Amino acid sequence: MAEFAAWLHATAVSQTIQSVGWIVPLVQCIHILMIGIVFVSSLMIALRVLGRMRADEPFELVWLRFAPWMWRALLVMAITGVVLIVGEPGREFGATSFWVKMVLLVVALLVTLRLGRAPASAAARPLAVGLIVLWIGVIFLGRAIAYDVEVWQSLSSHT
Amino acid sequence: MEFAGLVNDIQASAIGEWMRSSLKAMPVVEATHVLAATMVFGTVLIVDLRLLGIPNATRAFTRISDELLRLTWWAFGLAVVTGSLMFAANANTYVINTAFRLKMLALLAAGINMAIFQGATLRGVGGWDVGVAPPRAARLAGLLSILLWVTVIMLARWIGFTKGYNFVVPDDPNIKFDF
Amino acid sequence: MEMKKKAGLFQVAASLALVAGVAATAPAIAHHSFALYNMEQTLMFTGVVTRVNPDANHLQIFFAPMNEERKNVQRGEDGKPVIWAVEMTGSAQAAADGISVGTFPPGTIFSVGLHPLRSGEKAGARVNPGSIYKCPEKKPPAPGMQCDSVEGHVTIGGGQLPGAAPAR
Repeated sequence: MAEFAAWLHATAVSQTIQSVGWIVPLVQCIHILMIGIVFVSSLMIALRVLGRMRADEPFELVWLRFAPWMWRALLVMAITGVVLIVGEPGREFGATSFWVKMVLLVVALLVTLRLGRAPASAAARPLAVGLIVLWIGVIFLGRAIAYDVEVWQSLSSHT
Repeated sequence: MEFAGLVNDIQASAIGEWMRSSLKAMPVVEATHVLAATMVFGTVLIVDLRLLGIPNATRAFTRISDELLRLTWWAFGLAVVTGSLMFAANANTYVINTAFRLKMLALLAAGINMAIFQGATLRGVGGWDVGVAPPRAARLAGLLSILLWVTVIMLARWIGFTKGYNFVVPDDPNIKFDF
Repeated sequence: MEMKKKAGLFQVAASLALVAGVAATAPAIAHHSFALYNMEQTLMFTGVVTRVNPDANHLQIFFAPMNEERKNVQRGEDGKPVIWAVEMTGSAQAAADGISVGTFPPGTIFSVGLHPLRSGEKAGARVNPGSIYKCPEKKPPAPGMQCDSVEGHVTIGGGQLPGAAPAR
């Protein structure tokens, strides 16, 4: 992994992202705005499953309202995320927070797909709570990448 | 000068000292601040888009705003608390940071925009609550709100990239340089 | 109606002003946030602290380097002290090592080795591993010497004087 990070770091794309000062801050801004859309769209879907939001509307209507926004914002979030990784591969791959975040992200997506297909199943309510917790975890870990040693101490893959 | 003294007192406070020296405090507080900010933006966006007729006007505006703005205010409160803690850790640097100053201005503008909307435009909501396009003033308020909150978040991220290496900060005039 | 129009104009004007403001700050970031340090070069300084920026991600000490005689600081053509900055770990890690706003008040004399920015700006990253030495209050070292030579100095970070670059 470290070798791959070193190779990526040396590529022309990575060098450009590193040397053009405004790219990383701007891409981070877009990344955070997209997280706002993804997180709150997921929250709306989860709260509807729990009957805490738009209970007067059928689930399908709520899903149709928020799922498309969620998926599109997720796509932009993924693209901007890749740009940030290419720009600083060592920082991302070297952080325990990054890997845990990726795992939580994949689980959150699987949970979302499951909720969309079976919103009335017995597992739907715990899954909805889980989805909210997972996204909070993803957001926390995203910020924690900058503080890997402080947060994970001996479990940090840095140092 | 009094303002600078106050800012310095905030930085010198026990809370500021704790935020600076605790290994866990800053990551947790910053992450919570990001969480709160994304929640404010996401919830406000839904209400603002509804004012612009996106995706449609079938659900009553007051209903959408009532159910979402509760979440917005909770998240905003959390953002203010965590933001204040971050400010206390390094107040002297933040107050001279251009991005930080502009962010506070943008927050103020977003507040004024909201106050005008709530105080004036919303009075006639009965006529456009459901099924019809909101009046121009309401659409304008929605559009501005989106632009201002995007600006707030962008400026917030900009602070992180501009708060270091500031050589223009005035030095203490009493420093002794000759020995 | 007239009121509303005015309010609308204010809103638009305020937003435009802000967007312009963002655009104006944009170039400012370009020059050091991602600048690389020249890790091959080590500069050794003994200087007088002017300010500490207890940044959460990278604490910075701003200082005026002393002259070779250690009787005063280096000054520019305008007679004002030349200011350098040294950047290190975040404020919490630095505090654990004994570096904070409280332990490095303005006027503190200290010696540090740094890898300068490639951009040529007067700043750099602390040499690590490598010690920082704090002189006793108001007691600069002898000409050409660093704080580690002064009796009663405080050593921060286990190690030795970083690098063998010419003293400044």
